[in-house]
Amino acid sequence: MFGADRVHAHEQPAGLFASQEETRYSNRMPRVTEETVEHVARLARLSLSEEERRVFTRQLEEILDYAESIQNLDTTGIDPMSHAGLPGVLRDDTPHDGLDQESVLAVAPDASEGLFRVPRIIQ
Amino acid sequence: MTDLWRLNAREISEKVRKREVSAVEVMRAHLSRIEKLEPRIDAFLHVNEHALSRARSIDSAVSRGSVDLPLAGVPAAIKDVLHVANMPTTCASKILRNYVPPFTATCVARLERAGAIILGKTNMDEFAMGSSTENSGYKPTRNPWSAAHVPGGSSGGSAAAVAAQMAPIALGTDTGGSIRQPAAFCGVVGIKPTYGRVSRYGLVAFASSLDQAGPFARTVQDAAVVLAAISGRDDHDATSVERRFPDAHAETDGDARGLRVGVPWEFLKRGVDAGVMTSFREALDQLQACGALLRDVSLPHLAHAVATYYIVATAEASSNLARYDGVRYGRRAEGATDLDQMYGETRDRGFGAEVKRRIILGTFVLSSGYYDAYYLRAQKVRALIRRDFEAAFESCDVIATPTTPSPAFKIGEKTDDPLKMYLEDVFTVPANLAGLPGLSIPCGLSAGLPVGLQLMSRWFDESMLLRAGHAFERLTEHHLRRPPL
Repeated sequence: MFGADRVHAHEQPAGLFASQEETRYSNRMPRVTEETVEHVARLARLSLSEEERRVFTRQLEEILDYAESIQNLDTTGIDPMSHAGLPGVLRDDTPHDGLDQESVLAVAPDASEGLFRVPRIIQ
Repeated sequence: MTDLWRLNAREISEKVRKREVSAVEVMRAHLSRIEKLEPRIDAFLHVNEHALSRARSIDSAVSRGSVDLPLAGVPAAIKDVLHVANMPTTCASKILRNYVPPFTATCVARLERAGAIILGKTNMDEFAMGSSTENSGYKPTRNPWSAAHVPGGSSGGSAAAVAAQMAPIALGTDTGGSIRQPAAFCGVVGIKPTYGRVSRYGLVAFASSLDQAGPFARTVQDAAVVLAAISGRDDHDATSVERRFPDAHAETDGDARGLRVGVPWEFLKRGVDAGVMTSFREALDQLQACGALLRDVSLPHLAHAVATYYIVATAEASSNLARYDGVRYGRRAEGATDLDQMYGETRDRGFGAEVKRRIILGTFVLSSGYYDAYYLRAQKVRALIRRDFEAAFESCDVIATPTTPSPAFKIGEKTDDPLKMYLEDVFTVPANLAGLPGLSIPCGLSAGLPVGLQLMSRWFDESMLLRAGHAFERLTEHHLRRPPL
């Protein structure tokens, strides 16, 4: 696995002045359990089978192990980069027609009287 | 002429505008080519049944004197992640089976305005997540050079269609290499434009800070014409900007004299296939022979690009894919008695394994207790990677790497090991993280399979890529090789 070798070649020690938060995380190895995966799946509204839960637990652990390399980088004073573009240019605030209701509702799994219909929420 | 499918886009457009051939004849040639080869390649998910009638209207527009159509009558294959009104968009996912969008993506509309005709929608990895097109919820696509090998991904159908001459041009999308990697595997040209160059309106979102649509073609000049047609500001996408090319043809007229080519040798030391490395070194020699100057550049944080990418991209994906809840569009699992069960079963049955894996990973790195250690930290490393590029471009005009560490792999070879699949993207993800433009161009064969040369340039400096790519094509014959079909 070529990537892993290269990562080690470029590992940098955590900076002397790394923030407390960074030091705290840099020595911590996540251990993904099936419970973690189950919890995260619930947050993401995914019902997983037992088999899926088992396989994903092992694979997530492997992927996060690989991603541990970034924990040792010194990022002191670096601002997070949230997007790659130039600052967004907003369009003029003038009203214009969007998609019409009929064509939007036409692609819904269940629509009625101009509304999306879902299973009963309040008993 | 019976072999109209052999023509490049520029040749087709010129002949159609001069009325030497009709758009209808061109379309017929491509449709019969698809009929002949599609059973072997499986590049398409949908073929446009109105393509011929659209060709007729191009012919009549030309006969009425419309000459301002740089892509007059040129058939174009569209990755099934871009909307074309009244044609299905599935993103190769079962959750969108039979979904027909009520609007057209801006880049597709612009392609049509330039005279192109939509041939159909091409196969891909589900929601553009994958590097082999094996994650399609419908079928795998085969590499035109070898049926046992993948075409790359996620835009594998578009790359295979262009390589097999079923379409002269195609659109794909590139979030971490999804245009450049399949272009390399199939031996065609692919461009990932600068983030903001092409509107993402009508592009089904995977990772919004990384996604960008771009062209596939068999020559750099064809890719340039397509890129010029689809670029520019669109009020429907606040990240898009107006940086049009003055003239797509002029952009590719230069040579490579004085071009400073940076090579990050430290990054290429290990893990690159010997055949790929031989082709890459030859390509550098050829660039040097036509006047380019080689420089060693340092990009120390690139070693962390794959890890950074898979944190950032999955985090954004987990948020973007929350919309598939079976309420407003797509398929809903039947028989649920309450809302939570309906959501859970709709998503469990509708999404394939890779999409679920990425949603789980993305939700994990954003979840309470892990956000700072993973997501926030990855965003900071992303800034370090961008800074590396800024420094490197002080001393060079383009940066060259192989597009991929190895040529196309076998179907089934990496499906059980997601991490191994992710490492395929090691040379392509840096451009997405930094927002840079990247070009992949054929530069040889390794064991009979195509090898790609990747060039990256400064933000919005696609002209430099086109100039370098075209100079390379004029010196070599790699782009003239066709798969044995």
